[in-house]
Amino acid sequence: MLCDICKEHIATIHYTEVLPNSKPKTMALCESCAKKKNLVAAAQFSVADVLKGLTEAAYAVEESGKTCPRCRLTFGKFRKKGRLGCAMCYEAFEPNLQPILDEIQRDKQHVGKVPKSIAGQPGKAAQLAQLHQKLKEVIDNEEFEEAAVLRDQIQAVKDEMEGGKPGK
Amino acid sequence: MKFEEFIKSQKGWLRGNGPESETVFSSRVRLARNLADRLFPSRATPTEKKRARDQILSAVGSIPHFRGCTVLKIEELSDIDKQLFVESNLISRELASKKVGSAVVVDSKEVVTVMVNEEDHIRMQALLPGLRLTKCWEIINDIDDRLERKLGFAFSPRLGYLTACPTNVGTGIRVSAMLHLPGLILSKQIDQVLQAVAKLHLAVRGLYGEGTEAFGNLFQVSNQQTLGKTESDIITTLEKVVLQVVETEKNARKALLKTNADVLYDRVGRAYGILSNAHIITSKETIDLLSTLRMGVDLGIIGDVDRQAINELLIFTQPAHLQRINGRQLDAVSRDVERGNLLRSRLAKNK
Repeated sequence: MLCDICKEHIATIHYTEVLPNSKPKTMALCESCAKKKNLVAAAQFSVADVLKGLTEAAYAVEESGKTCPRCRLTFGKFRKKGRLGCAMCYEAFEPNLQPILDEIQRDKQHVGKVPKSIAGQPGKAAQLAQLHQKLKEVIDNEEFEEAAVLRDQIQAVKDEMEGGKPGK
Repeated sequence: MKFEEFIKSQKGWLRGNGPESETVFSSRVRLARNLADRLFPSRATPTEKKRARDQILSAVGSIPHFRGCTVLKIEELSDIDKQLFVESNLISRELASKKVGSAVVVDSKEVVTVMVNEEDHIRMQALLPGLRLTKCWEIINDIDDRLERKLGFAFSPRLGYLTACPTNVGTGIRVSAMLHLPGLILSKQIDQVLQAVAKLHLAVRGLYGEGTEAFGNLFQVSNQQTLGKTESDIITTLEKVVLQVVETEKNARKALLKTNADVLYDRVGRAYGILSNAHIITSKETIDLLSTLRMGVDLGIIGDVDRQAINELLIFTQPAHLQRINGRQLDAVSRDVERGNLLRSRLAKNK
């Protein structure tokens, strides 16, 4: 089978895209086209390489002196040491941390264990984590129609949580 | 338990039993957690670190699992004892390098250890011999539940458990298995197998030695991704991969026995001969030969040495252990002599 994008190379990667409000689309891709779509992560990397490799955004922050309001860690110092200083750092450095997380983790949303103290509350956060967990399951079972429904539900909860915030 | 008794006691994971123990030395599941309302260790002052430690140690102490546990504060340990715990795989190098405010708790069975103020406030792990990842997870998950009720961990609905390094964020889980792969090394299939494992986004590293040069044919396989997968997904994936590697190793050993039996018997016999007769022997040579001897025991070529004895020798012949056993500081030359003495006496007992 040839790659759906370049129609030149043999397709070795099959993937299904589930976008909101549309039917799931299955594609067969060759390795180089898959790479272009960021579907193939590098097999081996070190954290230091990743941190060094993502310096452009980081330098801008260092110069502007972005500092965590709680522990006073600067983003520049994090980049050097690779350690965050407190729970608030993730929020404080979010825009600059996200590309690093994307590189390291290949996923954006936590779907694992939720502390009982949070899971017990009927809050949106717990609801969101549970929806994500379900989404993971249905994708694993290749129930893509169901996945599309869940994806929309997640977006709805997110919109509610961010209600009124501009930009999103 | 007193420290002196503790270092003499049998390390739980050294027993050398459990499923697939011919290839899988040990299974480990580790969770990273931080207190929500305190600065992470790297930003905390010594006083703040000690406060966090008091809070964590008191919570750990109240859990029934830790009845009769050993609590060691970093300030109370000598350099040699820190090194000793690193050699026993009970604490990490990172913890051993800390000066103040850190601690380690080891349960009475030496299965669960809780490191306090390492890179994160809490690093808790369950370590069992053989391939028992799910059991490790059940043990540590229960302890995590109990600690969470008392401590309140840093958690975000999107990113999960918040850790000092983004490589652990999400589940905070690191699942690993220590594999003994002499068959794959001898049959030169190791690179191929390790590359296949790396492609599945799992990390493989040699247990001893730097980079790809692994002494003693010992490799550790672990998950890299901690965000966006459930704990059971991560464990199931690793277990499947480990079982495949185990199968390949078994086949390699069978093939070697079939086609190269004389060479194999010769290697094992020589390893046994050197280990039980040498007077001066380095750590690297010891590890390599013990690995060959262990394979000989697993294949039934050698019948009179048990696996636990070999596992213990792997640990006890390392520098800090040798010095502790001899009760004095030893330079490298004297260590090689004492290592020979220890090996000869231990292996002679088995005859």
